[in-house]
Amino acid sequence: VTRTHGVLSRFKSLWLSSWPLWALIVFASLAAVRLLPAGYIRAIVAAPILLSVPGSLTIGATFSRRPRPQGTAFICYAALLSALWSAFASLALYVGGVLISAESTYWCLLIISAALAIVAEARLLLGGQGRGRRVANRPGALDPDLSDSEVKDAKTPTKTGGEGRYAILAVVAGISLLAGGLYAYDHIPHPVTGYTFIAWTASPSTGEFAVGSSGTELHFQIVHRESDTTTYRLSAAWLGTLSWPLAKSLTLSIGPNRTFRGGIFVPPLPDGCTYRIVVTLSAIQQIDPLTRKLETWSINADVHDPDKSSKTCNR
Amino acid sequence: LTATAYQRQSDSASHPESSVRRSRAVYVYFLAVAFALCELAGIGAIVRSYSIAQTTLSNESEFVWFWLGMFLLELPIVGLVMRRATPQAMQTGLLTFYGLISYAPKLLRDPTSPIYHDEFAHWRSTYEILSTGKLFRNNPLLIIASDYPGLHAATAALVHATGLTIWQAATLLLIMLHVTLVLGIAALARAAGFDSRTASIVAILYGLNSSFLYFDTQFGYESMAITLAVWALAAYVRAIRSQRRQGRAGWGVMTVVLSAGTIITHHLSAFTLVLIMALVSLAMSVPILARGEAWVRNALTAWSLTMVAGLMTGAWFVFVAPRTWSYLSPYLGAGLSELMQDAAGSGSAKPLFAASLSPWWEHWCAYLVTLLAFVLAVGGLLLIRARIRDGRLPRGRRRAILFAFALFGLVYFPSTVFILSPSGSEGARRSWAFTWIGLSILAGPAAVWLVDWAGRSVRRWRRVSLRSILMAGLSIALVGGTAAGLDASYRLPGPYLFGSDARSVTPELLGASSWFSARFGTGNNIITDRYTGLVFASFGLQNFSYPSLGFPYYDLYLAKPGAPIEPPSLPYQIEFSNYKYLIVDQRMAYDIPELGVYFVAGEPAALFLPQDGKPIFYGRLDKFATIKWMVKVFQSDNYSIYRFNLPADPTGYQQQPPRARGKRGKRGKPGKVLQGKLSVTP
Repeated sequence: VTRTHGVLSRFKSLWLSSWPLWALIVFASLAAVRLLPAGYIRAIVAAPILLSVPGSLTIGATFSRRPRPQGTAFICYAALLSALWSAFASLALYVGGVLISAESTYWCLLIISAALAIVAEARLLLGGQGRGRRVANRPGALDPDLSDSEVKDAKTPTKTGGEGRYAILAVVAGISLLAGGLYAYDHIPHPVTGYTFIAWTASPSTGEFAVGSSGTELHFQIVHRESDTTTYRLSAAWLGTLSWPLAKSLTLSIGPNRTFRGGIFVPPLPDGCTYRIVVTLSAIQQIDPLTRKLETWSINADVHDPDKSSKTCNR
Repeated sequence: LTATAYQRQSDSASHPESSVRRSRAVYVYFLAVAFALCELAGIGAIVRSYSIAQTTLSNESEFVWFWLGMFLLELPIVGLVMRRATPQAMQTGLLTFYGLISYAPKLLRDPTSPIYHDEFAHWRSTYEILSTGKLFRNNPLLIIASDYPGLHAATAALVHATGLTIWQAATLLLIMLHVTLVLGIAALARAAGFDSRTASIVAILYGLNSSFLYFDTQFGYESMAITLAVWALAAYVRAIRSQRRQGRAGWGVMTVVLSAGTIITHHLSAFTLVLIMALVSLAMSVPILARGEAWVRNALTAWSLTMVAGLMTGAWFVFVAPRTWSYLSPYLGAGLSELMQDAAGSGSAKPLFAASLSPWWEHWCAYLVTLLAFVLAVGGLLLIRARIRDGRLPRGRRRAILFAFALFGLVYFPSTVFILSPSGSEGARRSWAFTWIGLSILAGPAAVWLVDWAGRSVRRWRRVSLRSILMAGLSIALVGGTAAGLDASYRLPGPYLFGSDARSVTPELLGASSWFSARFGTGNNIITDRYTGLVFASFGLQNFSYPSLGFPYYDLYLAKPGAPIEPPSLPYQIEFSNYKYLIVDQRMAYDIPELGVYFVAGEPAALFLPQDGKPIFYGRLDKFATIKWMVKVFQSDNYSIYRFNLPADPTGYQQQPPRARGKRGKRGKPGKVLQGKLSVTP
């Protein structure tokens, strides 16, 4: 027990005298952390480092030991400053004309952290006001900048490490509760709303197609993202002042989450005029709640034969 | 057994202290179990509420379950924080826990992707950084967002380091920011000289403001900036109060760094931060408030830090984000002029809770919260007066700081008037997240006084009754504060609701957007309504801009079938600006948008004039299928996508179908219409 205690106290003293350098090493280890698979596992390791080290070093570099924020305030300032350093690093990279990437951000933050660690370490070495918590806990060593109520609070006896223990308990309990809520919410049935669409897949994507002397087939797709099978009628027409059938209509049943590929063969055109064709999909039994008519979907396209004359076309 | 029981009895009789300790331990154990059960039941009730809400447009039971859950989650924490016996360390732990669980409503609202308007915009800005490696990329959804890259850059760095998705990284960051906001308010109150119990109650009171549960937990720049601003203020107050040069310098540096962070993150937060700092500096310069030991030095510290923050803000506004003023000024200017018109009787005040989906009792609570806040504010002022009289608040830094924050908090009351102005209401709501910092600092001591006064009552039943009344008041304020902020469609999930940002995202819209990006690529200029544009311009990475008087593309929608598009220059503008696609939501012809906006706030009121009781777009949207320079390339249940083929071919498509040649009938009838063939394969 004595040996363990001795090792611990030596470790503690080493940590207190050179924590900025240790923190810098921890931050540098982010390069190795990147070897972990992306996602939650890497996040559990990387996020606490990214959101604590640069900020802690900033506090270390800014304050001497006495007026430094303590406990929860230290953690909050460290987290916020760390997040800010990420933003400042991006700004610095942008100003320097360097693209913001995982590598450039890492190196930039490492340089910033190194600079801060040097200043913080120098402050530690030159400070010379005793070591760590023992000094902070001595009644006579209370920060003169504290208000009366804070002095009263500070003098109220609390168990050593009480704040840390409560804070850790609160974080663990809070995160567990949030995770539990998320899990429960994820596992209740969620209503699913499906949909159907029809769209051209033919090239070019302008919707204007050239028809050659042997005609052209235009391709489209019908995507049915519904949980049940629906029966449709597929038809095609020439569009003008009225609409004239272009092809015999088809009846098709599409099952849940199925995609159908379709084609409309456009025969060779007699002239160089542009004609508009429409492909319409109509649900045989499905009523559109908005229009209260049978639900229909349609796409259209303009077709023409570029090799023929358009002199006779009506304007 | 008998002997053991006897022994135990005799032990406890002979050691009354251990008996007391044991009963105390049992009490603490009971309290801990009850607390844990309340929290579990609370989160369960919220899940139940959201589960009900998913299937109904609006149902009273979803609100009842929600608030039951919130009371179960929060009131036990408040009860423990208010206890005098709760140690400071536990209070901090409780506040941390409060910060975490108060994020639950927003976390469960959209666990997997953005749903609020601004969230889509900030998602896009973050995506731009990740995909291009550059800041200040144009954001089609919220132009000003790209000028304030603090949140996006921090999220992108987290994505880079962890490999999480943007939304996962954002959620992680936002949880951290929300918890630190709660602790920051307590830290600010403690820096202002309150003891830890009062400071904790100040933080709890701040949690009653209208932005706390939903608006400032969204993936938006204010959520980050307000936390930075609060901690900057805490550091600023510490800097003023520091007696030693070392402390002053350290806290001064912290103030400057955190202020700089606020400035690069959000315009309004930066502006408010400087305003509060200026108020404190002013108070520090008034002898009747601040004259005390080293008051000139304190005032100089305050003013110099304010000047630095002010100059940094000004420099950012001028050199980096010059369009900030033109973005913000219409809200304030229009709000003021509308209020003047209302006062003169020539305007029409905005009806409160019009078309709201929330129940009547939420509306009443929203009215009552102002009243409760007013009572506590008056109580706070009376306490300040009493403490000045009995010498407990002498002239000096503490008095000046308290006065400055109290004065800032009192701005909340006149700002509530702006809620009646259509343009000013949004600004008023946004300001409450800031004014409540001052208001809770003013009201906190009054709340503590009330709790102590209730506890001083000799009779137990009276004590319990008084405390119950206080808890009821707090519950009303929690309900009212939240209801006064965002409408139920933002707060609770539910089926599709036309014209609501948060309930407009459907699998169909996402499917249409992803089909569009896969077919036509990203970066296309599109014309569409506000709600469709949110998804196309964020996940779809298309370029979308809102209509304006100079580019009134809503006129495309308004044109009657067969009538020419007005103004005639519109197609040229569309062609000149390289707009390629029009995406139409057919529901515009059948529904009035819940938010009262089809395209953009401030659009012509004529769009809302019903035609025979139907929306103005009724019967006017099918025309796009016949317009010569538009081709319909996609249609789903509700969305149609048209491609503009501009410049328009003067000939256009023929109005008669192509016919076979040389097959005319005897009487010169035209030949048969040409026939093609349909084919389908699964």
